[in-house]
Amino acid sequence: MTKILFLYQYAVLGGCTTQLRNRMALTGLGIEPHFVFAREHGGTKAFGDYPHVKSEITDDQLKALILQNGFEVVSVLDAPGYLRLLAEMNFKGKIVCEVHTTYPKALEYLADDNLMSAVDMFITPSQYQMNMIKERSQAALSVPVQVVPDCIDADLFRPVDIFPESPHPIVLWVGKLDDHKNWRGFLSMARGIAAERPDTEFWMVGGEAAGDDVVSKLLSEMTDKDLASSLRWIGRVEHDRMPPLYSLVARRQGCMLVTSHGESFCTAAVEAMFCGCPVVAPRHTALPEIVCHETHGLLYAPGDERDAVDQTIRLLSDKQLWASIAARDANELPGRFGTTEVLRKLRDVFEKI
Amino acid sequence: MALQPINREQGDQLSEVYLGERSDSETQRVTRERVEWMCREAEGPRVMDVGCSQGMTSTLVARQGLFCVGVDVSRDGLAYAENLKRKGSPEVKERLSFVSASCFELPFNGDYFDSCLLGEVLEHLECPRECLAETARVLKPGGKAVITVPFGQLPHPDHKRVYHFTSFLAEVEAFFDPVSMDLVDKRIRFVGRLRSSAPDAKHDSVDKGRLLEKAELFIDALEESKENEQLRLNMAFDQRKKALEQRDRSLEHLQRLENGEGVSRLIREVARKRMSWVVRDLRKNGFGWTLMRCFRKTLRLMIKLMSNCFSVLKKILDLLREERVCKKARAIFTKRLAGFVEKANSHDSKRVVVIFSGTKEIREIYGNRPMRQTRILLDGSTPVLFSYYRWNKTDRLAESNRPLLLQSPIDFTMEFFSQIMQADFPGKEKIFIVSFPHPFIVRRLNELHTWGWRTIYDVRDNWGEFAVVGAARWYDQDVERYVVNNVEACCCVAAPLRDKIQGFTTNKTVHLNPNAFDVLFLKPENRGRVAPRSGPKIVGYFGHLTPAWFDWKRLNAVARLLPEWTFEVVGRDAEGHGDLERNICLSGPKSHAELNEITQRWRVAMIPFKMGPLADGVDPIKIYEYLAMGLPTVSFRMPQIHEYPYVFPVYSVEEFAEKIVEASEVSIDREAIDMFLSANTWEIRVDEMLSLLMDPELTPCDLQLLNPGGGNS
Repeated sequence: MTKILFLYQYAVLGGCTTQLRNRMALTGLGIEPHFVFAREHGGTKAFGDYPHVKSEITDDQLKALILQNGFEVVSVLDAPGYLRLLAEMNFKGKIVCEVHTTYPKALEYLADDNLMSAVDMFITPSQYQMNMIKERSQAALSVPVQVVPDCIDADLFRPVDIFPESPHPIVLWVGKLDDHKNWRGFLSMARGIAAERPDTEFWMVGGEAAGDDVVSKLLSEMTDKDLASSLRWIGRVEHDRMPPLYSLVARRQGCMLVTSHGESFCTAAVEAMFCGCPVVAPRHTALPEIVCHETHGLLYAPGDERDAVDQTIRLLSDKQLWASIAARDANELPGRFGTTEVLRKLRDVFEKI
Repeated sequence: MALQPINREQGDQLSEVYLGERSDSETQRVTRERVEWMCREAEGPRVMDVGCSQGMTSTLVARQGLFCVGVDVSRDGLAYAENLKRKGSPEVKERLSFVSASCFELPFNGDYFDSCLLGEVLEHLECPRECLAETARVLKPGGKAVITVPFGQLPHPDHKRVYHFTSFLAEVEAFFDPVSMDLVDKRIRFVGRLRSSAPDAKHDSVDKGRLLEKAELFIDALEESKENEQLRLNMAFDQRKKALEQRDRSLEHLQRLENGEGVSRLIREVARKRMSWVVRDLRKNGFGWTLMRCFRKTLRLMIKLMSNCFSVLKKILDLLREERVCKKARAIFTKRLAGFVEKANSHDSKRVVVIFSGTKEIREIYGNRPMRQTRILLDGSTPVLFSYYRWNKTDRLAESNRPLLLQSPIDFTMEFFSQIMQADFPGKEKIFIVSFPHPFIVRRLNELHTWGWRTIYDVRDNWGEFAVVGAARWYDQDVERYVVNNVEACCCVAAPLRDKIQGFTTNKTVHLNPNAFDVLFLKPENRGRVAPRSGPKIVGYFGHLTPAWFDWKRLNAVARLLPEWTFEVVGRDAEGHGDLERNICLSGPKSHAELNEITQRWRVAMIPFKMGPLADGVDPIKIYEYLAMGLPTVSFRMPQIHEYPYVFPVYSVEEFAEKIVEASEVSIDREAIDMFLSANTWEIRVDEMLSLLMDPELTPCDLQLLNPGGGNS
């Protein structure tokens, strides 16, 4: 069995941690995955009692772990510090650099040729991200860059039909309360939607770690945009409650509205689609690769809030369109992004190395 | 021509002074009176407040129902003003705006405003005339200018002009016909109308003789105080100089340490200096004398060093102690919380309740609304986690003297919130009552729903108005608005307060749930009693005595009108009342048992609260207790209680005095009182409040459906 070590910075709920958790299933494909997180933020809980998960270990302990286990491949997710550590210890196995983030600051390390020279392969979840890596890193021109989409646990993310009907559609937003995710843009769009569809509710999920100043701004903008009575902010929803949340939005014939300035994949959108909750997203970065316009959701012109409002209202108002998209999302996407399919592809990629 | 913007950042925090957050009480008074005078003089519908600073005057003008634009160049001032605006009602917000602009280039069309306010602006300008000309440009024909400037020299680093009557009039009369001019609190107060022609030589409306008299008195007083002032300034200067020298020495010392000059090097240096001194002294005074001086100096140095070390050590020990105390308290609380969950689950109750209050811990002497609600719930065998406020993390944990009660200090409630929220209470309805709209709760309110909690916001006071009088500084209207909109049910203690809170939301009906009578208040021997209709003339009050709402000034005036009556005032925080009339007797806080004794002597009870939005939102618990003692009550305007039996609402001092006499003679039907009280008990109120969650018109929060098993565990 091939032993692969995955290194990531933060064990949090959702995001990359969820992707890594899904990779526990690689054991069934002839790979023994090990996971190490620099900081624990409650994310290792998601791994249950899987034995090869560690967090909060020192560099020396990590080096010892690598030597002791004789990993053939170490895959580093958005964590240049670990790439440096592998270079320092002169790691003999193969090094994979996985690039998921789209935050410009967090991508600066790709331009460090010295650091990148040790990398044997890049893995990234979308074509967009692949191009972006090639633009930033010289090393990426000489080593393979593989696209492996993020995978979603289709057993967990599926439509749950336990909710009562309600005449009020919900427009859902998921993300951290930061500028990159563009929560302010969502509020502006929500105001536009509410002006035409005053029966709509707006739910914002995420951002529990936001600072007091951000929360204060959120509240004042809610008031200024006259959304106080129609908008809920839920700072944190447990991961296992996200499928019912998406299903609830679907039951209310609502949708998820993505406003972020860039996504390498947008796991949350795909999770929502798995649960039959259509998505309205900007036509930029990796989003058009996932959301096929009018087939699996609707796309709007990037930066055009008016278009975002129009597309959302179109989806909320056109019941037939909504139903066809929701059905296609729930039925077809698990075949593209389900854990089994994606992990097979990942196994093949690791084998190529 | 210097067209510099107004630069008043230094020391000009008008709103903070007005709101009592800054400066001494005299300055606050002067500022308040000046600002309120300007507001009274403002004429609408459109008003401009030039040099609005932190926006207090503009806000007050908007509250009067006029449209007001505040103009200033101070970013900090405008940021504060915008924040103040955010806390206002939607109507006020609509009427109020702030603009960053120079007073020399006002971004408005001509003939636009009905009045312009220039409070303490002109003296800061190199070219006040330019500002006045620009103000005149934007005023409508005949528009009003309301201006104040300091009279004579006032110590302020940014004052560029000194005004006396003549110089001031010369400045303004080119643009405005004087309507009135006065000297109040060392300030010239001027009101004028935009002139349409050249100025007249005479201004009949300005009584110059009276003004000169006032000016002379003022100048005399100024001369007298000059000497003392100079002395005070000299002393302050010396102190400041010493402090600066000390600071420089400390900085130098620190710099040397930072530069790598270690402690040992410093000691060596000191020793070298000492040695040169010793050699000099030895030559001069001989060995014995030098040895003694050496010993003395070394001893002094040692003592100083020891004392420094001791204070550092003390600080470290304090921190360690705090950490130890907190750790111990945390361990105790963890155990108590686990015990509470276990007890709650082993108990056959339908529900479990968390009350997130901002009050102190539950003790017998305190009897506010959340505490009484807690008692009723406990009496009904409902487990209650009562979150209370504490200032200091090292304060001891409040004991829970009832088996189903857990008292949790707010810092622990926040720290253990996830555990509390996620605690499993199988088969029980989980109810979370917010009675403290603290910013923290915004973060967790909807998360509570995802764990199956049902939520109520119990509005027990008009927090916004409390904040205005400086009593609820944590308050943020956006937070309260969020809470109102995101809880499932909301209720208020008084009808005017309900109307205000209803204005925050369109997604639910806000209900009325007034305060109530606590049957435990009344001692058995006092049941059925009525106030004496003859005997000593005593009118009484018990409760909180903060000048923020207790109207000492009017009470004094009432007492003056009724010298034959004794005014007995019982309660805590009696301050800021100044000299009281002889017939007003103060005593400190009393227990319920003592109040039962004291009130027996009273013929009438009273509630002399300041009339205004704060009192309008109140349903005082004391009114039920007065009634239980068979006392008729005279109260300044307080709409919620106007229809209660034997309440005499009044609107003026004279009326207050008249009604005390009338109430002392009214015949009291005890049966009517008993009927009222039995229909208004805390048991009924708590039931009514909890039943709001059963209201068929209520839309439950669908987030509860995310909790496995539906709405409740």
